[in-house]
Order: sequence, then structure tokens, then C-alpha cells
Amino acid sequence: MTSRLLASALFAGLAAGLASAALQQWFTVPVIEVAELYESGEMTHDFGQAAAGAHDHGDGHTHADGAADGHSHAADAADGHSHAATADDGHSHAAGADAGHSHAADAQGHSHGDGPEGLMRTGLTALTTVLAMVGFGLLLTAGFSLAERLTGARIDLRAGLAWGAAGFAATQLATAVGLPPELPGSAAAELGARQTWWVMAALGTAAGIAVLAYVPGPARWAGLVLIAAPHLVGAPHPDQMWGVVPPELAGIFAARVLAVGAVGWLVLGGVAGHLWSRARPA
Amino acid sequence: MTTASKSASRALDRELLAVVFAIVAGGFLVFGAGFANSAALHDAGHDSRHSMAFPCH
Repeated sequence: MTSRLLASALFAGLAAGLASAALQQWFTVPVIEVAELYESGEMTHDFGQAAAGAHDHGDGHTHADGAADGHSHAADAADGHSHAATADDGHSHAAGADAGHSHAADAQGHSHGDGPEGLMRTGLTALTTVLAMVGFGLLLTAGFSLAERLTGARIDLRAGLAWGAAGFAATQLATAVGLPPELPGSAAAELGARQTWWVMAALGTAAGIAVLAYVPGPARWAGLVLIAAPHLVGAPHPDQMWGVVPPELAGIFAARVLAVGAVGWLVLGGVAGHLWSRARPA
Repeated sequence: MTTASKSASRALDRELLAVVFAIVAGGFLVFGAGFANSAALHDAGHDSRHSMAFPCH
């Protein structure tokens, strides 16, 4: 019994963690690595100035050779940031550029330059992901046990998949509504406030789904209040958007994070539910 | 209390203990992987934190 709970969580966490780690290397880490070039100033985003000039719609979207991709290298910009060039275009990036510079100072504090690289970086990323998924697995199987005790429900593979989907909704989908997956170099509010809101949104959504699923009668609709509450409070956002990463990159990153997260959580819930029901004491 | 129900309730208590342990250990692992402010943990978990959409930086 004791071992059933812990073993289900460990094996499911390992399976989901390794699957997630592989998908992260494939889909999300390469985007992070490009974003870090912008964060460090090695590449700069000129907010479409070059692209606007370079596009030739006359002959079917050919791009000029120069800064055709809308990115210019920092070497070309005196201070490593080309935001100033866009100060006149009405988007008030000039004010944002100052914040951008202070973020560049931040980045040193995060010691990205000194962080692990190569195989070590890949290994530590995988290890962290596995540990996080084992942690989520332990919370999930604790939930299995409590649900079976309190409601008489029986958790199996199918129910486990539903729990995995709920875990995804709580820790990825609901949190992303307020705090979309961030790339390095994105503008964001103060870290502590975001972490607090993230935990509140995840717990509120998880509790809300549990109430909707397991509380009998009309009282179950109180679950909707729990799910909505974090969004009524609202996530902390920065006063200004000064992110140095192109929105195209941020968009593809957010979509990929959610897709990888969905796969990881379904593996976690399915494997945990299956092992849990298979080891059920007679 | 019969012997059978005694051992059943003991088994139940042990599972409740496991639930408490799992919540504490699970919370600890998620916190360490996703939230802890230590520079070493941040650097090690950097790509993972971003990829799992934990607030980072």
C-alpha cells in the first residue's frame, strides 16, 4: 500500500520525465538557445524595420539579402541594442529600451555565461525535469489515495489519464493564461509575485477540478469559482513590455511548451493510474 | 476490534502516512525543480524551468 503509492509515483514520474526531457530537447530547448542570443545582445530584434523594407510583395514575397529575417547582429548596433532605431515609430520602445538595458545587467546576475553547457546542460535539464515530474507524480498518487478514500472512486488507467489532463490544466494551461511560458529575455513582473500567482492558479484549478469531478450535487459548481478566482485576481504583469525576443519566437515557444507539457502529463497520469490499479490490494 | 479490522486499519494508517509523505516530498521536489531561488538550482534547472513554464528570472 505504502509502496504502491510511492512506486506508482516514481515509475510514472520517471517515464513522464524522460519523455518530457526528450521532447524538450527536440522542441523547446533549441528555441531557448536562440532566445539567449537575443537576451545577451548577440542578436537584436529590430521590431520589423528591416523586414518591412526587405519584403518585396511585388514578386511574391522574396526577401532582400541584408537583414532579411528582421534580425540584425549586435555588432551592427553601437550599444548592442537596436531598440533606439524604433523609438520614432510610435510604439514607444524608447522607454522600453532603458528597461532592456537594465535587463542585460540582470542577465549577468543569472550567470548564463557561466552556466552549464553541452552535455552537462542537457543532463541537468533532463534531471530537473525528471525530478519535477516525480514530484508531480507523488502529488498525483497522493490525490488518487485521497479520492478513493473520500469518494469511493476507483482510479485506473482511464481515470489516471483524466487526472493527468487535470494536472496539465492546473500547472500548464491555467497558469499560462496569466503567465504564458517565458523565454529568456522576455519582459515579466517581479519573480516572487509571479511564483505566488502561479502556485495560487495551479492549486485553485486543481482543487476546482477535483470539486467538479468528485463533489456530489449542485455544490460541485463551486469548483468553477475556484478555477476562476486566480484569473479574477489577475496575474502580475510588467508595467512595460520591453522584451528583446521576437514575438514569433515567443509564440512558437509557448505553443511547444504546452504541447510538450500535455504529453508529459498524460504519460504521468496514465502510467500512474495503471500501476496504481494493477497493484491494488485484494 | 477483530484482528482483521485491526490490521486493515493499520494498513489504512500506513497509507495515510504515505499520502502525507508523498505530498511533502512531491512539494519539495516541485519546489526545488521549479521555484527555489538558489543560483546553483537555477542554473541547473534553467532550460527545464523555462520548458515547463515555471516563472523564471
